[in-house]
Amino acid sequence: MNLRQHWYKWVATIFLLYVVLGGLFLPLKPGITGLSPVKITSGGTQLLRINVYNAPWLKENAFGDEKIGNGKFQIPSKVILVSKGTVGRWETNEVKFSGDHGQLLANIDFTMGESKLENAYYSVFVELSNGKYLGLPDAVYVERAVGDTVGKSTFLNKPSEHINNDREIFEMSFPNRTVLNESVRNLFYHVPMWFAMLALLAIACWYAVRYLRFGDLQDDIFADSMVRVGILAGILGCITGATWARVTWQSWWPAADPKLNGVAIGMTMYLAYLLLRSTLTDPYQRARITSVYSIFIFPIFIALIAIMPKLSPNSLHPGSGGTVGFNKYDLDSTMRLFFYPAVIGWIALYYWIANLRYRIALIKEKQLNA
Amino acid sequence: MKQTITEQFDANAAEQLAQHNLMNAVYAVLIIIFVGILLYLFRLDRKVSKIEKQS
Repeated sequence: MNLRQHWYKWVATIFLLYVVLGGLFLPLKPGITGLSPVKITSGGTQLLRINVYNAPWLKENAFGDEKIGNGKFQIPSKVILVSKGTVGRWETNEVKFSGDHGQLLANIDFTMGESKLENAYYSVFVELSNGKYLGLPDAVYVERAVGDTVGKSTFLNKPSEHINNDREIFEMSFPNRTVLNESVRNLFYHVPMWFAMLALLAIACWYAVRYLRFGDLQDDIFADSMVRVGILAGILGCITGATWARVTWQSWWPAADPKLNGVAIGMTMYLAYLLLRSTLTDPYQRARITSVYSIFIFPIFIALIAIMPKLSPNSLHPGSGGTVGFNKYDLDSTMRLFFYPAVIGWIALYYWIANLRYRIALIKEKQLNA
Repeated sequence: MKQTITEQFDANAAEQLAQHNLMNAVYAVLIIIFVGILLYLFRLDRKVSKIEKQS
């Protein structure tokens, strides 16, 4: 095999092997996945149950090491509740273990008393013995009890030091995001489908221009193959996205999301391309009309799935609406280490398939002419 | 410490939350992609067979 001619096949093979294996087997960072109760009435001690996923203290126990708490191993030392915009907090040093799944128990005295505290959502943090934090934003709603108006508040009215949950410490593990949890790995499989579709459609657009410029039917067949395999990537992107949305956004197709609406229109335009192509029989007429159509809809497709969601006020997808994407909160260094190879690998694989389809269509075309 | 009924309920809910594992979504997505690509490859394969028969 000539390496220069087949380089993208090797890129697809090696990169995807790396991405699939790494994406499946690398562990997730510990994180708080749940809490109960989620609503607390003040004026007394409340037992909080905090579920910690991939709890570091469980992991260390599994190795049979007894040096827990010497700074190297992480055990919970404090549970802290902080609300937005306040300078104080509820906290306790009494943290107990419970259950096999990394559940923590913390007794906190919630007394509002004569203080001017208002009902609010509080973020929960578990401080670990090595100074790191596990956090869950806006996890608990604390509400004043009817009789809780006298006496001293247990709310600590001291300026709390900044709790930094996103420290830049490089570890080979994926970030544990609220809601996403383990499914954050789908970033390497669902998102590159769209990158691949866009790449193939862009190539198709380029070859459609080439056809109109030079009139070579080979260019048209190449562009057609790219569009068809691009549509395959798009369909797989839709189905995988729906699967992912079902478990995280609790809906197969949350219709309020601007990105989904854009994709629905965009995919219909490309399905119309297939329809248009199948109705025309004269190869030159078909090539000319579908080339123009392909060039015409590609920028509209980009606008629908990339630009419109950015302009709209809100979206569930990162990188659109008010939400951020591709910054340090969405993509940490471990994610980047797998996401970029995934994009390149999937594009190479789809290009490879499209190229096979092109060669088959070319042979068929030559047979028809012979 | 004796647990009240509410506390027991909370414990069960918490346990369920802890076991709720989204890894299955990742497996499902990977399987969908590979099945989709394989189906397309089978279609291509059929096309090649047809051409082979004609020549």
